[in-house]
Amino acid sequence: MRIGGGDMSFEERIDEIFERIRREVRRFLEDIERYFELEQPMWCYETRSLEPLFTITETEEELIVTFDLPMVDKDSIKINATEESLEVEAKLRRAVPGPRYLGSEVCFEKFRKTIRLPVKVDPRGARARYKDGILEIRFPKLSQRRFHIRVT
Amino acid sequence: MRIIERKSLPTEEPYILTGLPDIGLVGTIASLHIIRQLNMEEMAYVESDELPPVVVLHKGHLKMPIRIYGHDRIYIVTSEIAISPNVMPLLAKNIVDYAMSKNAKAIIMLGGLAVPNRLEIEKPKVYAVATLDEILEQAKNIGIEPLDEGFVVGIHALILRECSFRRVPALLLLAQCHVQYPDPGAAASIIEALNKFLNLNIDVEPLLKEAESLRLKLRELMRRTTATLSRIQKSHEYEAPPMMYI
Repeated sequence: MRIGGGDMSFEERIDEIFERIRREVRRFLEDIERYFELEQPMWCYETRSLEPLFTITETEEELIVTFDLPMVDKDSIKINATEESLEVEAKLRRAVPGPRYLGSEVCFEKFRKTIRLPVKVDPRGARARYKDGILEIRFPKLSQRRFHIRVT
Repeated sequence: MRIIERKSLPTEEPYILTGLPDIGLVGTIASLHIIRQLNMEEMAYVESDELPPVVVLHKGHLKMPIRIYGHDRIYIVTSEIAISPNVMPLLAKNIVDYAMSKNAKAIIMLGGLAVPNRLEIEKPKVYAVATLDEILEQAKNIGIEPLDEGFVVGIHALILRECSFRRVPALLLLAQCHVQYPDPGAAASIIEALNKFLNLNIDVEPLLKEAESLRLKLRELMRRTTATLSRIQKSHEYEAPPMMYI
């Protein structure tokens, strides 16, 4: 067996290994974060915002992030992204009252969520659609070096 | 764990329905709608040291999180909390015990079947799994397709297993649904299938009208349920059983 396309320098190989380790550590930390997130309320009193449910899935070439955004009009959705993070804000069609113990005047007016993405993406190439109250954003992954492995 | 009964229906051979938190919260949403539409009364609740230390307040009244409602010839088990994996076997056993003590005609579980292309599906299809061939035939006769291959994981699997051992007629209805988002559309499909199976006339229009506000209200339960399901290898349900090729 021979690894083809092995034109990487020693330093590049080390970088590649460290990048892989960084990715794994990031995923592990995200799992822990998710666990602690369960104990956080899904609303923010200060910003009068609700936290939407979201999912992240990966294909070989894309990172797909969806948000459940009911009671929202497409035009009110604002999306900002970098290579590593995504911020979504959307105004609710009508203000939603908070739990009574917060006081009768407390209403939530929007959804808001910032997430750290598990892989680097190209935000310029992202596409978004909003259907049946679900926002789907597809990011092309930033290309990584690929190597052809020949079986002998 | 035990089921504390407050009231009982006079009917003989009732149906025991379950609408427990699972993917898409299909059973939960369906059970809430059925309880409201049929104006069902609280009949019993589940008591256990294994449950989290939670009580629920509704309009100032104290309620236990897992309750059983009843009306006419139907009981329905519903829960306002995610069912943790360590509680599942006990709960499954207690539900089957309860059904047997009532001489139930069948246990009918309402649940979801995760599909990756749910956004493209206008009307979710409903599939059936049954412990006895007669029940499956009944479902097929009213146009519900049997689920031919696959895994069932979680509370429904345990109830099916328990019913299978004890020869209790049980039917699991599964509507195509979102995995991690509350899915009132799937709940509506399940209720329509149930209408046919039990000859009921539960209107799903009000459910579809309030779908958006339900999705908003059920975010927390969905998040907790998703976290629970990831601990019981729910992802098995997206796999094909290895023996399917034999």
